[in-house]
Amino acid sequence: MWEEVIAAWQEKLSFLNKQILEKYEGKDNFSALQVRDLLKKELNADFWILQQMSQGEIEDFLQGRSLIGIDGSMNTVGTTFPHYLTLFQALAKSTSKEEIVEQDFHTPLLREERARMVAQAMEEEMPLGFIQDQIKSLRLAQLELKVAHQALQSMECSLLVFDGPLWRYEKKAPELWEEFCNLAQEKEVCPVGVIEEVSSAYLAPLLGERLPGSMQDFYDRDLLFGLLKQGEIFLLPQELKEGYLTCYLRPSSDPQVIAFDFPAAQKGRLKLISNLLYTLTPKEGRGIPIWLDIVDNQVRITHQLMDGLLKSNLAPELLNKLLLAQRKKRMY
Amino acid sequence: MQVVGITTPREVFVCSKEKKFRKKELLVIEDQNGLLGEVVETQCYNRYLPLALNDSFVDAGVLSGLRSVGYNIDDEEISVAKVCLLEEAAYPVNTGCLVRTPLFNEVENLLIQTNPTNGLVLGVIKGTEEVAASGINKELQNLAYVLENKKIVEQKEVPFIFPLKDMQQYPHLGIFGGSGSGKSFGLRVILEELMKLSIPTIVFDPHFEMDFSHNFPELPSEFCKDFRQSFTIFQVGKEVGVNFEDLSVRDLCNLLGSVGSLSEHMTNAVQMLYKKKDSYLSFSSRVNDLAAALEKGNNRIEKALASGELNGNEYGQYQRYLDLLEDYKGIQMSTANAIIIRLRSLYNSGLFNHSIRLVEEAIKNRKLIVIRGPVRILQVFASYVLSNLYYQRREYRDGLLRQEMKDPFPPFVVATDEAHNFAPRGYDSATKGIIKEIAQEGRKYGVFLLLATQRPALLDETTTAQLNTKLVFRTVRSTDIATIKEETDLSPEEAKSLPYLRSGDAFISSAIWGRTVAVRIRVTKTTSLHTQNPFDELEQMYQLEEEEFFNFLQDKLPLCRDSLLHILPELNKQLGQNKTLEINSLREKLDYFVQKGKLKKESTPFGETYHLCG
Repeated sequence: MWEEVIAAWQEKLSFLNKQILEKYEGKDNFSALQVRDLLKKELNADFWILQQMSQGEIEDFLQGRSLIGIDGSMNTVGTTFPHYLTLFQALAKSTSKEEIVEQDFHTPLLREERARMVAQAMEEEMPLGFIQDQIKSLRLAQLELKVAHQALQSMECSLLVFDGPLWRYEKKAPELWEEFCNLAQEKEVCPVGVIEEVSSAYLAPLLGERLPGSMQDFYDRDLLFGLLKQGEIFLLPQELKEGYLTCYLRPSSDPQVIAFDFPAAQKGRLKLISNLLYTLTPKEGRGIPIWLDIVDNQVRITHQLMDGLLKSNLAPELLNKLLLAQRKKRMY
Repeated sequence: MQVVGITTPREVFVCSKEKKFRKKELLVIEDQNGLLGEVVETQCYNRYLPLALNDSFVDAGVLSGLRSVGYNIDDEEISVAKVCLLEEAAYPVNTGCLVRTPLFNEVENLLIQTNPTNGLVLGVIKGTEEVAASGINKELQNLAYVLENKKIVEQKEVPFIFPLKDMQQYPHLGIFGGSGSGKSFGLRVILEELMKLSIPTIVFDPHFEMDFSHNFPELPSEFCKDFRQSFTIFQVGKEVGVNFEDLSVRDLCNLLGSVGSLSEHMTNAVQMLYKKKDSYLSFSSRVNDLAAALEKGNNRIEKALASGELNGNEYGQYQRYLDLLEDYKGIQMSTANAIIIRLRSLYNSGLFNHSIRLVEEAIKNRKLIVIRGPVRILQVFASYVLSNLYYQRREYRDGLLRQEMKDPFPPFVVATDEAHNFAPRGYDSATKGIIKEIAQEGRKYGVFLLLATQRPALLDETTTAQLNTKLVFRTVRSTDIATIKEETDLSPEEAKSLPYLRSGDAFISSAIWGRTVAVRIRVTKTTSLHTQNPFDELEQMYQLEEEEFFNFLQDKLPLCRDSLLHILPELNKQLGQNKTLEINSLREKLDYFVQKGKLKKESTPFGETYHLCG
C-alpha cells in the first residue's frame, strides 16, 4: 500500500518538475547576461557596486542621529468568521535604544466590528474572508504608521526603515501616510522600504515583446535570480508606483535579490542609504539589514506568547467556546 | 536579576542583563522571607548572535557597522544562572521574584565558622567578591593573598578559615589532587597555619621539600612570617633513629627489606633468628655466628671439638656454633649472608645509633617536625615513631581517666604527602596499621591525620572514610574522580569540573560545613627550593662555567687546532682538579663555541685556527 502511494506521488511530482523546468529553463529563455543587457538598454537601468561604509562615513551620514527600524506583527487565534481574534503589535526601535510599542486587536466577536464588516462585504460585494484579510493588513499598516509617526516626533533619526514596500502604506492608509510623509520631510528623515520577498511582476511587462514568449509572464524574482553579483545594485529610472523609485540588489551571498523602495524625491541620497543598509547586512545571510531582523525578533507575537497571553487574560470558557479550533485538540 | 522559567522548591533559574554570574556565588531570592541559593551553573546568551550552523550568522563587518550606528549588540547579552537553594523552600519559588547579592552579615555564619586567630586561614572562598565588598569585618581583611596569573594579588573575597577546634568532632583532613594541581602548596599552607597556632605536628617528607625557612619571592612584607623557630628537620639515621630493642620482628623485616628485597627464605630466617628484647649486638652476633658455623660445616666443627686442639674460648665458641646449627637447621649459608649484608647496611646508615628523643622533645615544645629519609626507611621509621608517640599520648590520656599521674604528652597532628604509600588499599605496609588506628581512634586522644595523595583510589578505604574534611584539587584520573565522588558530597557538576580546575583551586568538602565550598588556596608564605625548574638550573649551572672558560680562552686567541698543547697545563691549573681537560676534549669545547657562534674557525697554511667572532 505504502509503496503504491509513494509511486503515485513520484509520478505526479516528476510531471510537475518537467513542466516547471520547461518553462523556467527552456532553451529559448534568455541567459541572465542577456536579461541584464535588456534592462540596461531598454529600461535604462543603472547598475553599480555597493560600498562597505567605514565608521567615519557612517557617522558623517547619521550626523549624531540614529537609524530607526519599523516592523509589525500579528497573530490570530481561531480561523473562520466571526470566531477569531487577531492581536497586532508594532515597534519602532532606534539604534540609540529608544523604543515605541503599540498594540491593538481585532475580532468580529464584538458586535460593532462584526456589523461593520458585514456592511463592507455587502457594499464591495466581496466574501467576508476577503474583507477579513483586508482589515487585518490595514490595521497592521495603521499601527506601524502610528509608531513610525511617534518615533519621528520623539526620536532624532536620519533614516527610517520599514519592513515591506512603502507604497503599501499609501495605498492602505493614505491620510496617515501623508501626515507621516509631511513630518518626515520637515525633519529631513528619509523613509525606505526593504522588500525581502520580491513578489512583484513589474519588469517582464515593461520589457514585453523583447522577452521570449515563455519569459513574458515571469515575476521579477524569476527574472533577476542570479543576475546580480554579490554587492551589486540597480535602479530603475521609472517610477513603478507613482512617487516611488525601486532598486533591486543582492547584498549577501544568497543569489536571490531583495528590493528597496523610497520616495522619488530622495533619489540623491540613494547611494549613501543603500551603502549604509548594505554595511548592516550579514554577508552570509539572506540579505536583510540586521536592524530589521532585530526589530522583527523583538516585535514578533509568537504562538507561545499569544498562547500565554490569551490563557492568562481571557476566561477559559470563552477561549474554548469561541476561539480554539477543534483541530487544535487533535491527539496525533 | 530575577527568577525566570519553571521553578522547583530546590532549583531556580535566575537571569540578568547587567550581572555576570560566577559559579558557587551566593544569591538571595526575595521570596518566602528571603531564600539563600548557590549558583551551580552559569550560561550567557545573546539572542541576536545565535549559534546557527546552517543559517546566516552575523559577521564582524555588520557588528562594527552596528556599533557605528550607535548600537552595541553585546548589550543584549543575557546571563543565566542555575541556582540551587541551600535549604529546600516550602513551595516552588515564585517566578519573576527579584534576586540580589547578599550582604556580608546575611551570609556571615555560612561563610565564616571561626575567627582567624583560632582557625587555619587556607585561602579565599570563590565567588564572594561582591559579598566581601558589601562590608566585611576588619579582622577578616587582608588575611590571604592569592596568586592570579603568577602575580600576587590582594584578597578581594571572604577568607576561608578552617575551624581547627571542630576537628575534635570531625577529625582528619585529606588532600587529593594530581601533580601540578596545587596539592603540595595546599599541604604547605595548612602546615604554615598549624605552625602559626603552634600545634605540634610531625611531617613525613619523602620528597625533601618541606622546608619553611625561605620566604615566597615578592611576598608583601606584612604577609611574611618567619617560621624558622617553629620547625625542625630531622633526617632518619642522622638525628633520629630507632631503638633496636623496641622493634618487632615485622618492623625488622620491613627495615631489612627497605635496603634490598627480602626473599621468603630470608624473612623466615629473620623470624627464626630474632628473639624478643634482642639488641642490635645480640641479634647481629647471632646471625654472624650462624653464618660462620654454616661456613665451617657440622663435620669440621665436631672434628675440631673432638681433636682437643681448641683452647677454652675457642671451645666455647665451637660449642655455640654447634648449638646454632642445631637450632636453625633450615637456614642456608647464602640466606644468612644476605641478612648480614642488609643488617650492616642499616647499621651503617646510622639508624640504630639514634633514638626518637629529639622528636618527642620537639613535640612537647609545640614544634613542627619534618622527618626525611629514603621512602622505604621513612615508612618503617614512621610506623615506629607513630606507634611510639601515639602510645605515649594514649597512655597519658587513659592515665588521666584512671587518675594516675603520667608524664604529660600533648595532642599532635600527623601529616604526610604520598599517603597512599603509607596506608595503601588492598595490601599491607609498615605504617598502615598505625595510620588506620589513628584514623579510627585518634579523635579520642587528640591525634589527627593530614593525608595528601594524588591517588585517592589507592588509599586505604577505612582511612579515607575517616577523613572528615577533604580538599579536592584538580584530578584527571577517572578512578580517582570516582573515589572522590563516593567519599565526598561533591555535586555531579562539581565532579565533572574536577579535571579543569585551575592550579590552586579546590573544593573543600567537609562535614563541618555540610556543603562543598570552592576555595582558592592562598599563596604560601614560604617556598621549597625544589620549585626551581631543573632545566633553568641546568642552564645556570653551565652558563657560569662556560663564561669562565671562554674568558680564559679569549686572551689566548687565535689558537691553532694542532698546537693546543701549550695552553693545556695553564688551563687545567685554572679549572681545578675535578675538571681536567685532555687535548681532544679541549678541541671539542672549541668546536662547541664555534657552533654557538662565539668563535670562528679558519683554514690557514698552518692548519685550522680559531678566532674571535666579529
